[in-house]
Amino acid sequence: MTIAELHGKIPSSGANATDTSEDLLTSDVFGCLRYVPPECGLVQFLETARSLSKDSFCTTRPVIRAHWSFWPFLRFQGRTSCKPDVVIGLESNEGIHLVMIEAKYLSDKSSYEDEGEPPNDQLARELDNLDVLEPSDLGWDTSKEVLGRSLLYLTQDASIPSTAIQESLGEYRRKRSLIGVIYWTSWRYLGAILEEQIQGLDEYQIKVLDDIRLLLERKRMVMFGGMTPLSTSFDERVYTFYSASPTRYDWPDPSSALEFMPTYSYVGGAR
Amino acid sequence: MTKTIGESPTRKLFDCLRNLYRQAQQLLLDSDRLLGDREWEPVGVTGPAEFSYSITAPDKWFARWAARFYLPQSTIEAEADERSVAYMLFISTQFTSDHDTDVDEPVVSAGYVLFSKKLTRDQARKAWGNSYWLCKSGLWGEPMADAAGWREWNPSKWVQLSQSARAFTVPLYSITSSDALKELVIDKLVSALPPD
Repeated sequence: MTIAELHGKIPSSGANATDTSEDLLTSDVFGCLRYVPPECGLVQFLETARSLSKDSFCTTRPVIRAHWSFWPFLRFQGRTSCKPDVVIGLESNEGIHLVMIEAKYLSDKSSYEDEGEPPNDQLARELDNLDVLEPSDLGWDTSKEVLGRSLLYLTQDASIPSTAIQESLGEYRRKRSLIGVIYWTSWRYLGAILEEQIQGLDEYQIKVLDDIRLLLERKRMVMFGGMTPLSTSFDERVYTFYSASPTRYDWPDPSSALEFMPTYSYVGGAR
Repeated sequence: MTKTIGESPTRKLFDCLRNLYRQAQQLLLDSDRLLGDREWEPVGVTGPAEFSYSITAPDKWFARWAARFYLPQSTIEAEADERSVAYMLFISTQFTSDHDTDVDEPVVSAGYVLFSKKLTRDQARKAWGNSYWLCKSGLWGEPMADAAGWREWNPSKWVQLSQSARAFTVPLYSITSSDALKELVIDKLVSALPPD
């Protein structure tokens, strides 16, 4: 199931249905993760996230259920509205942890700090909305207490994009007088997590996780696995195809170059 | 006559080149990660450079090297341009000889450019400008007497506010894992950095 299509992210023109679409990537990955228990890849992946101050993302385990909202439109009084890619509710016996995910693929943040009163930078704005978000706003069927709220920035970088995150935290701090936390992780870390999780799953769940892994490999969003020296030897002569150049260049001899020599005569005439 | 796919030597040549570049890309991204753990942030999103579109320069139609440069990360305490920078790091893969280098087996070259005074991140970025070719420093310069395997030279004539460039090289194919990258390149580089 392509969750993106369910949410109207694939217009009839197909403009967003390309292999460079971050909506499609989000849809493919998180749409598939929805079909396996949260402790079979999702939670482990989220726990690869860390903040600028190197705190790791953690949640109350075990997670017994996950609630999902894709591209929810959030609008709260006094805050600039936002549409994060995914909000996941990690439900444990103790309560629920709201995890808002802003996923990027080839593009950067969609908005930056402005002069307005509420935060406008995309991540700052999402942090601002997350502060007041309740499970009921997302239509989730749970009355459990909210144990925590975390914003996670998911990109294809291999290291934390600290400048982008610092900009967002800066605007949030200036405008709300609060110290925010933004966690970050990379699509590139997911493949290895899924490979580990495949042990012990049933054959249908394995297929789901394997499809995500293959997609990430296809998009080359994997981590370094070591260099392998070239095993083929190449003979330069094989690639030499233009070896019959003239050894000497001359201007053509007119008499031999032209079969019929033109003749000229002056016929006069006024200008 | 129909040829089997993958049989042609030219196809093999380019497939190998693609594979080499992809692995090098992952190596450089892993450098981003490993240096990120030590609070260094890559500058920009580029890898290779110095291509030519000119019909007269076919030797520059392909990547001879690729590199990443790093500045200290912004932190919770100091926003991007407030943090002072004493030097800029780089990690590069030198695949083959260039007009100014002689490479047989490819190497990883890692090092740092020491600035003549402390700069802001923005100043450092400007001082560095388009001096991406500094990533070849491991192939230039004089061996440093007090640091085995390191070479040093002074790029101040070309790079504003720079004082020296110091670098070392290791064979690219010796980096057979992420652990090897950490041990042979990243740890060696970071442990040699002068006090900030």
